[in-house]
Amino acid sequence: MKTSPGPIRARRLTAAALIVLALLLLVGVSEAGLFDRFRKTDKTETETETKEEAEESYDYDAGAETPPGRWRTAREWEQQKELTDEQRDELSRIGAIGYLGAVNPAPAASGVTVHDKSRAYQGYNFYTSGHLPGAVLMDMEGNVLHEWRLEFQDAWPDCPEDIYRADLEFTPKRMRNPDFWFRARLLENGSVISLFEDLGIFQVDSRSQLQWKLQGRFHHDFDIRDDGVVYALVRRPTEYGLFGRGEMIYDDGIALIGPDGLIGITSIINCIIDSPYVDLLYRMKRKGDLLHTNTLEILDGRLASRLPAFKKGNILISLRESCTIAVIDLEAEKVVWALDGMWVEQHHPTVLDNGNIMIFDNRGNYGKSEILEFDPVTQEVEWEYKGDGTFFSRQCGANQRLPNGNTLITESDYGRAFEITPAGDIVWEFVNPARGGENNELIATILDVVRIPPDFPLDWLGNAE
Amino acid sequence: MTDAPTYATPSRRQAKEMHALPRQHVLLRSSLLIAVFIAAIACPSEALSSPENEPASPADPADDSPLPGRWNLARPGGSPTVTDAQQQEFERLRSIGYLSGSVEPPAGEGVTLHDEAAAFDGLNFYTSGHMTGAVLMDMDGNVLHEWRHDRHKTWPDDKPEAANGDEVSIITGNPDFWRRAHLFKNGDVLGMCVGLGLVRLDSESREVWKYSGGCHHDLQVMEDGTIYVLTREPRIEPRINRRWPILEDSITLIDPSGREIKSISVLEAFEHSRYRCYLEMLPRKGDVTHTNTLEVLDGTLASRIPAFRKGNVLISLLKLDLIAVVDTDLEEVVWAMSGLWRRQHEPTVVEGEHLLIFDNEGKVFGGGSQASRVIEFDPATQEIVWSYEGGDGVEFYSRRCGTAARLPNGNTLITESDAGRAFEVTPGHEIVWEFLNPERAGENHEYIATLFDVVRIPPDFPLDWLRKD
Repeated sequence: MKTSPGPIRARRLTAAALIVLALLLLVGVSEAGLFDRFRKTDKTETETETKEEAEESYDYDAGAETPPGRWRTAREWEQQKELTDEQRDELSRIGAIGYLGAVNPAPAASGVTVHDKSRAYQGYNFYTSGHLPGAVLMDMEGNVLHEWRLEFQDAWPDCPEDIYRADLEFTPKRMRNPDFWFRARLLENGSVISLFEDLGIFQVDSRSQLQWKLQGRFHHDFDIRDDGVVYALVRRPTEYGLFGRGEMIYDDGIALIGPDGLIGITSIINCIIDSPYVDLLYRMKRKGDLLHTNTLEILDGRLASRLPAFKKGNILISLRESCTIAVIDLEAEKVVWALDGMWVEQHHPTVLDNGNIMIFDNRGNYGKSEILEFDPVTQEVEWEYKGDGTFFSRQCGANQRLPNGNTLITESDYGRAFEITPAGDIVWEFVNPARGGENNELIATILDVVRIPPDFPLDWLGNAE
Repeated sequence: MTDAPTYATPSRRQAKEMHALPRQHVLLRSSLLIAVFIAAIACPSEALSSPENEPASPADPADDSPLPGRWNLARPGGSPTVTDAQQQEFERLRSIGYLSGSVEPPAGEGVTLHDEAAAFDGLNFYTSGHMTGAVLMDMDGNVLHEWRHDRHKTWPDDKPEAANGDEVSIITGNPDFWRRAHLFKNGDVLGMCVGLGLVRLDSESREVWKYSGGCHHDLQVMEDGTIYVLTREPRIEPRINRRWPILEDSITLIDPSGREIKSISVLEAFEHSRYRCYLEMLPRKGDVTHTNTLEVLDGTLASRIPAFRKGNVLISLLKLDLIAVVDTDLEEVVWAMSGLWRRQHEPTVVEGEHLLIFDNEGKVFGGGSQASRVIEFDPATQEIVWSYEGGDGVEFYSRRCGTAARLPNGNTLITESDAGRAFEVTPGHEIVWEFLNPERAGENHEYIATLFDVVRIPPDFPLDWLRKD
């Protein structure tokens, strides 16, 4: 390396150094030192992932040129793509006749497309979408009651674009995104807590005025404790020396955020190492985003009488890469329960009132998606939804058991949410009206639709306009 | 394997020097190779088939053993965890004289410890890496009876298969020991020759019948005489690997006269089940599941976990660090668990509510950590309710094999296979009986034969056939 670096190399090195510095400012300041129990020294993310791997783990079938945010080819366009050449020929032949001018699929219905008022659970729908740096409150008919909106640049005006755009070779594009709110939770006073993926977490009031913000590589999910403390997933690049090869990996942490800011971060990898579940690490890949934690739920203890690991205050998480869900005791900083085998690259495990766990299984239904409700003590599946064979979200996905026994499912990639009865009848459906692309062939991802109960206080709504 | 060397065994150092002299000692080198193959046969074949994300395994002591059967360096004075420098220091300390007791003296052989009041009285039935046969021994180490089997007489055509140099061809080579055996009440035994089959011998070691098939690792004989045994078959399974054969494990049922009743493919049992997701995690080549345990369930756990109903089979899959229950009627997996152990062996239902398991390498995280443990846990809540982890300066590690059984008095009988050691511990971790395999080999007796499984036979077991001898 000492042999006379040319000017180009020198410039590259300078650029790299600048990026490193900038990243240290962005990432390091908020997180460095908080993972102090780590066995190895920190490094910046410049060495973490090759582009190849980034693309592999973030495959995405919408074209390279998509609008800002998060999109994929809409279902009706994708179905047309699956036509055989013969069918295509036939279509263009018919098209040439004249009375069928376009071979493009008819635009699918958007907004609320199904609503069986007698069977659907009546309330409001609160959601975030891949097209919107904001969140939406919508009634059951699809009327928007309120919208919150905060651009990343307005929240963090000092953050340089080459950081928040993250068009960096070593960061998968989809790991960081300033163009939409990834996850949001509505508070009773009309405030909303949300996060820009891999960039920062914040709260706005009902008029979208920033109330607090915290920079850092927060991602995927957070939950709010009864007293208002926020538990959020945050990632940190680190050198993984444990297998003796020193690859760069991302560790995920659980950050606690109180009224005065960050309280502390607990490393999930340390929680595994210090627990009887060390085997989980052996079964993970050993580089890059090896945990890919995508869910965090603070447990309320309702299951603890049958499963002591689920005691109040413990954390249920979902590790996508190893297809594992696990419970962490934050006081002991240990994994105390884990389960895998019935799902692939799952999202959103959640404990139900009846003591079962419901989970969005993205790929375990022979490559398609399914929703499972199972007893975590016996592993018996007590309810499942597989749909008609097209139900699928490669990434994301959410599920919510409603008070009337129905289940609200967000099929994120296809920009669709629907409510089904226990028998699987669809009694409410919403297709994201946010479309993009030249022919509107793209549909914006719906990260998560949450049904808000009808008695939720909405008095702030009148003042918010 | 029939031409296993019989000449004097070189020491480890000599063996290394010989490795450094190519073209010489070709015979020795090939015998070393054979020994490596043997080491690969019976238990985890890590060295041959580590998934690529495995850390490099530490050198396997058995790889140096140029003996037929299955041997490891004996622990005292030759433990693989002791470096040459440490060894020199041990020698130095010993020579000082007044400190002679500060290092573990060379261990005794046979029964080295027996607390008659606390140990569960009975007899010990075991198989060992030095012999094709089995031994019945009393609590004080006296051999009461031995069964010896000439496997070349039973299977005269036996020779390692040659198949494309794949791991499978190595595994179908057949070693000189019984991996597992069962003692019948009339003094007959059922012995397992890995890769060849089962043979039933009478108390005089005369063959009663044989079953030919790729038997491996474990068997269980039911009250009605039905035999459950793990079998395997190399085959091309395009869904896993288009080009190279894999070993497909099955649970095979054999009637009391040695005829096959049915066979359940472990891979298919997963594929047809809710747990098919595990198939995505399999290695793509060779011994993909490495099933190493089978237990026909007695139904005592079924009230808490219906999957554990009577007649279902509990298995252990080493390659996935997984244990699972197979419903033998539906022929599918109905329960599975992993996470609390690594490269485990011998899960078994104890006290009607827990599982006991020999956790070979799951105790601590990190490459080269040589520590095993035995844990008793609640399969419904995953709580560990008891464990034995060595301690008090007592090394406890078996990289391969290993068994644990709960005795009627609440003690636990543990076989630390690689170390050629078995011992009985109380719930409070006190060792009340210990047995070190007296079978040693090598110039300095540095090798100890593997103890696969010591089974405590209850004191009321009929032994009238023995007295006829």
